[in-house]
Amino acid sequence: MEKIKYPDNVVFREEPEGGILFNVDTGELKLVENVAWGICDLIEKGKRRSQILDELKRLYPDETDLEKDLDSFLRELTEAEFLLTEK
Amino acid sequence: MIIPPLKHLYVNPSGECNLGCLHCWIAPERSATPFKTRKRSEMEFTPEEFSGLLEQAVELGLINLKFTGGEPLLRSDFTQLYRISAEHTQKLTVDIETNGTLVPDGLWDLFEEYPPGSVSVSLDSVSSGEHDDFRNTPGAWKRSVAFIGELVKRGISTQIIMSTAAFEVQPVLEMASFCRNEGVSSLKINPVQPVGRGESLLDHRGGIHTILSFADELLRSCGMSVILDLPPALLPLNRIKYSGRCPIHNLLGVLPDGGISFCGIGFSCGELVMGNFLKDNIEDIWNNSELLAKLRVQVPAEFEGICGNCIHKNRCLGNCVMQNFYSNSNFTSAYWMCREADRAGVFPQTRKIQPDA
Repeated sequence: MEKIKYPDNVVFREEPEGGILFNVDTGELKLVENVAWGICDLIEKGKRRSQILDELKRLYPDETDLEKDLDSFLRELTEAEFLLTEK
Repeated sequence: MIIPPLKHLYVNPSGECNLGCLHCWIAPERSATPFKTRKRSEMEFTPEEFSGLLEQAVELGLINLKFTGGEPLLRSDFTQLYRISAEHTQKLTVDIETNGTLVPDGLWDLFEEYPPGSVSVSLDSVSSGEHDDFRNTPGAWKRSVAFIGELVKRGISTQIIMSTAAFEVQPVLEMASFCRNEGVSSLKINPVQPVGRGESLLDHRGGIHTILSFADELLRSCGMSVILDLPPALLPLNRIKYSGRCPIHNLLGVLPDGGISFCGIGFSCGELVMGNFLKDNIEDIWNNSELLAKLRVQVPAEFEGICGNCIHKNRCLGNCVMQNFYSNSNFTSAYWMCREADRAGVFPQTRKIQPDA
């Protein structure tokens, strides 16, 4: 799950309170706030999983489950077809 | 075509109301006396007939029933209708929308025995004078507030529905404070719609800019228990999950004479009455009505204008398809607020499937 990106049919829109992932083919959308919003923003900027994890560790040095939580969120996005992942 | 389950019935037992609200979208006949229940009229379905309707509807997937109106508590046999619904199946939640000014005999005992899922009471101001003026009935506020107090005391989930045509924030903040003090679960703010009597009430108001300014200021000032009934595209992201959604694809409305429509719209648009449960089989209407078939094909796939280009269209479903039909005689026209926002250039670009170039 190192390289990650949005599929061509998914757009990420940012607003003052959060972000929206929108699948233009299916009409499905997902609203993201707080940390999830930040992760989606980093994906949009082309960051790899390891780079996102590093950024999360920098921002939340006391959190112990960051890697597990990140992978769980990325898996959720992948299963909902909002994200493409490559080993 | 896949036929969805019929999950919801909006039941209008009475074609009349005891109040004469300036904004009412149904604009029913006014009953003879403001604060007295009355016997069922010849034109209204009987409790026995209603029981037969439920038998059929449960088979189609019914899980929720809402009594609304015309004022549902106007009928003195309302308690019979409610008991039939409550006893029909434990899986059925029964909600009520009322002006809270009438109490049919035995109502509170019945609510003790079978608590409703929720009761929404219309209250437009913390000022009795303003509310009574808006409701066109002196004494209405006092009775509604007493009704609300009784609901809360009995632990029934209670919502206040506040209608506004003025789009002023301060009266809503005062109402939110009233709700907190009285223990009311939630406050829903309904902008008056350009339907029925509301059509003339909105004519002289300030348009979409006023509505959006009102929404912006209100939502920054209030907690999540204040629900503003706007389409999701016009709400900030953190409010969308608390916004409601019309279950139009899983819904039928029952009119007092047994007519079956999409909701209460059958009061205003006779062409949207698809049959009558006193003589027609509900399953036959649900499965074979040409109007329902058209709705299922067109909503949201054939939405026009801004609704067709909105990322929320699959969930929002045009916000109120029947309002859109009332204004434009079709199921596919855009919702008036979104159309006005788009025309004024204030519809959020982030909510468009294809943003403007």
